[in-house]
Amino acid sequence: MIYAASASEFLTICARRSSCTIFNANVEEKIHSIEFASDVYHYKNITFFNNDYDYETDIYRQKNVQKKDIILNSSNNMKPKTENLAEYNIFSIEFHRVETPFIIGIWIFSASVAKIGFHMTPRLSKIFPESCLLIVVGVIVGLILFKTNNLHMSPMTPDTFFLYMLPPIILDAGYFMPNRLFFDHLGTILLFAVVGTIFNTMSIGLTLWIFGKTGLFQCETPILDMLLFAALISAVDPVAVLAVFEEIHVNEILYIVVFGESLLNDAVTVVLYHMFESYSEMGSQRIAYSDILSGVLSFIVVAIGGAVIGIMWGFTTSFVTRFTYQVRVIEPSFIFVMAYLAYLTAEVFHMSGILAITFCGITMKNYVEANISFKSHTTVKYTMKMLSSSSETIIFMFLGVATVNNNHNWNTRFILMTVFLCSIYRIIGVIVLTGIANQFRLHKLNKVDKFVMSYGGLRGAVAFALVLLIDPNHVPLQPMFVTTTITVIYFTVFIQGITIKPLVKILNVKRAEKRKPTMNERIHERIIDHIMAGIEDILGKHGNYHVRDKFKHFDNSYIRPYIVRNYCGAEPKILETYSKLTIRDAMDLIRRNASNAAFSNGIDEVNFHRSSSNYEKLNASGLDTQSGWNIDFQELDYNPSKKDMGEAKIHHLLTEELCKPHKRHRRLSYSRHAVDDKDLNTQVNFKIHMNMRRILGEHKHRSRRSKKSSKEMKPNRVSFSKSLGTDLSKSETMKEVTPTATESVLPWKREDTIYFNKPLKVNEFPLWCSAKDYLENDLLKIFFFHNAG
Amino acid sequence: MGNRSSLLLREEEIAQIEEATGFTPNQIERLYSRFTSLDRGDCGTLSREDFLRIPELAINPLGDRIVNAFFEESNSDRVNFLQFMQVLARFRPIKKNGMNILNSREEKLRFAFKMYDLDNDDLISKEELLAILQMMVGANISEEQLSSIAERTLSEADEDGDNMINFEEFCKALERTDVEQKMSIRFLS
Repeated sequence: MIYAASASEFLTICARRSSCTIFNANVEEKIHSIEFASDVYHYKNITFFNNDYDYETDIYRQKNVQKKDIILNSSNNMKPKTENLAEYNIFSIEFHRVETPFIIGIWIFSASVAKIGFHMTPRLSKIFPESCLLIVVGVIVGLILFKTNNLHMSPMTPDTFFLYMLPPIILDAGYFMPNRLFFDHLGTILLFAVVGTIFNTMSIGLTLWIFGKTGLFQCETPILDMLLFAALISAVDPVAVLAVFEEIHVNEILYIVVFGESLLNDAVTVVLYHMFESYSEMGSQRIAYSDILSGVLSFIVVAIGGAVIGIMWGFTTSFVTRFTYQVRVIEPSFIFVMAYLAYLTAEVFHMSGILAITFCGITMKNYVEANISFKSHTTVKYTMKMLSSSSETIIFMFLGVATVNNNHNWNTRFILMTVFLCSIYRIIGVIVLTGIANQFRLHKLNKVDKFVMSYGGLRGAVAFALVLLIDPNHVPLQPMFVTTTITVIYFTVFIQGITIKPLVKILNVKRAEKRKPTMNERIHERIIDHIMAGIEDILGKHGNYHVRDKFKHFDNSYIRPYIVRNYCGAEPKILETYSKLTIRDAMDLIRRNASNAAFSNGIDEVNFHRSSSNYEKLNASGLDTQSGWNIDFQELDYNPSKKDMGEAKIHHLLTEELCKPHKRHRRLSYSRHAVDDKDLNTQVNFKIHMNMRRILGEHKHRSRRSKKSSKEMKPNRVSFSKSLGTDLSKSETMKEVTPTATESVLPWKREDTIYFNKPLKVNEFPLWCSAKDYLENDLLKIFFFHNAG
Repeated sequence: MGNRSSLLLREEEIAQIEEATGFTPNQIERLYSRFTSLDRGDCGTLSREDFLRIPELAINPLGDRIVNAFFEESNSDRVNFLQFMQVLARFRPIKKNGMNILNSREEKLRFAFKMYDLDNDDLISKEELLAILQMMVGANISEEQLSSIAERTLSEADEDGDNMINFEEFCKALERTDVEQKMSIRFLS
């Protein structure tokens, strides 16, 4: 930026900058400089700073308009102040420049604060699902804005909804979709998503039209408008379903069927919606049969196209992450950006963006996880959850805010009729379709399942965004549709959403069980899969297992080797489970109480290293071994005269030495593009240190206790002292002169050195602290082995 | 094909098989037609080669073991239709109030267990587990890693400390798994 006192000065300063600010220029000078700047130097942005006003002008785009502005604005402000040349504004307010992002930020902030609020009040959040509470907060905020006449910016436009708020939620859903479950039940899901949605649309639309014909609604109800409305109102909404089903934890089959339906019916909804929209724009007289046929065709194109675009982007993403191992920090951004691009690409071609991003997530997940680092994986996980939960929060809040406006057209009969029809046709549809699906299913959907499925058919923000998209010029009933849609959404989210939780409890719906597979389960279940695939082959039946087996084979031999960087064998899941379990075991062992049998073995071993290495050290340093060093804690007599050794000192030393933070191998120069993986270890090591320290502490207490009753030694100690071998047998006889353990370990701390002629030279650290001894220990080996590998 | 199979299968044979396996006559005829189509030699029994001729089974890592399961009970190198059906009967879905022969949870688990039990001693040893893992995972993983996985698996399931998995321990390890569901096939009727 250039600050120039006048235009002429500015003209002389001209440099290759993109913007400049000019103080106190008069009009002619300004225009001149603008023209000069834009023509000669191609400046984009010039700010005139006259103390009375300021404005920015984008000359590139609107040179003429701005010229007029300049003259108009400055003619009001023709008070040239030549003397304030040196006076630069220290403080000035320029809100309009940041207005939009600022308001968005405030929205996210307040919505998130509201979310915190609910979870702070357990009683509220127990009864109501989060979505309800967010809508209520939204309504309150909307009322405030409405009363203060501040509602100049409509918070939720269809564009912001579809382009910014929906994709994160769907990506999250696709990325964390349980693939296997999804594909196992794909048939049922598709049946509900396609046939169910079409059935709902047609039946609701036609019934509304018939009732309209009777004059029940006291308004003109053209059939196409009714069908258009039915198309948007009949789709089950992924956002609402997710919000409610995540809280009620029904079993996974039920969850995947309802949720899968809500995801996949998007294609149907989009097609039906666009079809009826263009039909109603064309007018019902001019629709030819070919239009209807092309509508059916476009459904196939939209659905398949969306899925294919998503899958292609998914593979591309996986392929790109194959090469990111040098720049780990950008891995997450690839995943997000490319998924988003998949969504946008699909939207460009009027395909189903939801399907695209869902399939993108499903496709990339497995390969990407094999390619990116563990840290990136965590980042992706968290960021995805964060983005999706914030946009979900905002969507519900905006829904509340958008409720409060002046354009409502409340038609009680129409609304009641719609709510009634939505529920009744949902139930009929579910009953009929589960009847069909059960013919082909091994796991039959029972009555309770049917109930939850029909009750879980929640409508939500997608319907709302679609209804806002309707052009009131073509469809005069649009305000009524908006009101009705909002009511239906409120009905499903509030009444069904609140009651579904207790109902699920009363009906005793099988709940989901969260579990991590054990090694046995992982392996045996894979074996079972292979068996089933084999049996299906023998039967000559091309069932699920057969298809999965074929795909796995294809995947392993043709896809994975090219996409996954460190391709390691056919069963990545088994390895994954193994490494997860190994980490958990190691952490468990360390965390576990020292009283545990397995662990006391561990301690003994540690102790053994410590004692024996000390012993050798002492030998090496030329000490009189006959003086009877007893290095074993447990064999020591309680020695009250040494008790004042100072617990504090020991503690201090232990703290210093054991909890010494892991040495960081910082790079000499700060690098933005790489994260040193070694930094990761700090925390873990700290944990180990803490635990070792605690173990030692306990050990100390225990040994002191045992000293008090040295006669009655526990069996494992006896065996332990045997295990130390004959080297120590001599020392056991001379207990009178044995220094305490602390003294042997920290000899330089001892005040009285009467036993020694020369000061001790022992390694400053207890030897067992060194990594070598750690590694010899079985306990920790497993841990380090993993870290290294 | 359907014609021929129904010609070859007599009423009392169907009744006998139905009794022994719980399949419906329709299913039996359907499966018989599959049986005959696998039977290239037209001798009413299947050999190992007949099974392994199925292309998908050849790439199945457990293909050999599965085929072997068919021959275990016959003690010869050929399988007749009844034996064929008896093995398949294990994969019938469990019906609440129907005939449940051979398809209990235990029978299903027993079949899976047999996959590991290479030497037929009703115990899974570390070597057997390792061998199965190698079949599944392939050559890309080092021996060492696989053997530590096998060790880990053994120690997880082993309760009596003999470093083997017996059938009870095997069932225990899979008690959270929906085996009834997973090891069932919808036989067309």
